[in-house]
Amino acid sequence: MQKVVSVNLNGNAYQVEEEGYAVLASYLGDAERQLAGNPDRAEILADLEQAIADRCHAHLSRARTVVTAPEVAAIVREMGPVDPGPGEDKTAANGEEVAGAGDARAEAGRESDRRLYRIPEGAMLGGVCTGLAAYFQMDVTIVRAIFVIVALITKGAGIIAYIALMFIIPEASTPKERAAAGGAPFNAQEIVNRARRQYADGRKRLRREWRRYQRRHGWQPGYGPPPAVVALLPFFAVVHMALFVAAAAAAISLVNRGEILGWVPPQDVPIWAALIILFFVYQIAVSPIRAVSHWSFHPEAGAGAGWFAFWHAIAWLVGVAFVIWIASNRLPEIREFLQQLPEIFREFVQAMRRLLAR
Amino acid sequence: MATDEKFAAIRKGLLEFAILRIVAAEKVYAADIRERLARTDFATQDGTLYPLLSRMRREGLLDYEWQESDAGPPRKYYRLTPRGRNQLAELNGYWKRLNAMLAELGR
Repeated sequence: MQKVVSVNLNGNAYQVEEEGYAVLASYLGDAERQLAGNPDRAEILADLEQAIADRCHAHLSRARTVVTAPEVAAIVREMGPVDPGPGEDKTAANGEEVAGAGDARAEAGRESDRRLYRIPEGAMLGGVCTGLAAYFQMDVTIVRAIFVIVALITKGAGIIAYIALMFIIPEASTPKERAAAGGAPFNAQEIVNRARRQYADGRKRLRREWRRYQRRHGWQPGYGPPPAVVALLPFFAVVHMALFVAAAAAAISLVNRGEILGWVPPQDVPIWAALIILFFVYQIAVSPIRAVSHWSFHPEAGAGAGWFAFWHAIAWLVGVAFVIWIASNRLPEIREFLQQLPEIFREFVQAMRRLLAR
Repeated sequence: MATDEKFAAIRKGLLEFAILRIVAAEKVYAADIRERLARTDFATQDGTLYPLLSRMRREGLLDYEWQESDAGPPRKYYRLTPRGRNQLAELNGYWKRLNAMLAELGR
């Protein structure tokens, strides 16, 4: 005589002898381990349970209500060991490589589920690049390199764009959102594996790209401007300053009075867009002067040249901040200008959100 | 023994092909597929079949719908997606070419 255990197989109750129960439990436990990392694990397990249930059903009749231990053993033999299939066995040894293959396959079918999120896993700053990379299915390193290059070309506007995106794009905080960010199946372990992988070689490659960029764009010593240009440097500095003051005055007039020297931007151009356009115009206007001073900074200075440029930029920023601070205390226009900036920034963020939400 | 193993490897590679053909012919559920295969050299156990079907669905080759059955709970009836049909057509063509190639080599 054996004790009988009641089991729930995918929603069907069956009476099974105790020994048979142990066999079933170990079979399903094995199946679960074999399918670890399979995005459809729960579904496959339910299918397997249902298949076992169907087989149990065949052994039962009105007169026989219990599945015996030998019958369970036979059923489990017929079911056969669970074979995760090629590229599906995600054991610790080959988990990473295989996870990639599985993602690619799953992603192919789920393009439409993708949404733009920031992904904190594997992020270097705010996760904007990781999110964009997942969304466009590009290598995160390429996205980062693009950001760096854009930031260098635009003399910093790319950094502002990054900060703006950080505020606009929501963070993928739940595993489900993270899955949606890549259009990948919802499986936390895979996502963590992938992010970790991208983080490791992303950092390595970013550093390499950066060095190559520096080499190519003449941070090396050896050449400088002719003395005549050096002699004119103070003149260039004055022009630079004048352009800066003009741009700042234009920005203040734009924000405070909605016009620049009597010119009013068209109705459908919001203030923030006009400010961005103004910023770019200023950048373009000063770029020849910047190029000359940049040239002069790095003649024979060698490795220290990069640092010199860096400290020059810091000094500039501190100086500008100091001037703004003084001016905002003395000049009402500037205080008014600064008070309006947060509102403009909010409008900009909202406009970008609407754009992304489509 | 050695040839047997080699044939097993070939069968394993062709199993997906065999399943695509079965599903293309009629709407079936998993146990039907297993029974059709059981009568051939492609006999496959549930433990292999279910994960494989799930993977083929994830690849977009198969699709299923739930249907009430006379006995027991509703079942998943599989059918080919357009993508699955394309792949089957490709495989059929490739199989013919392979046969022709092998015949050509023996000449």
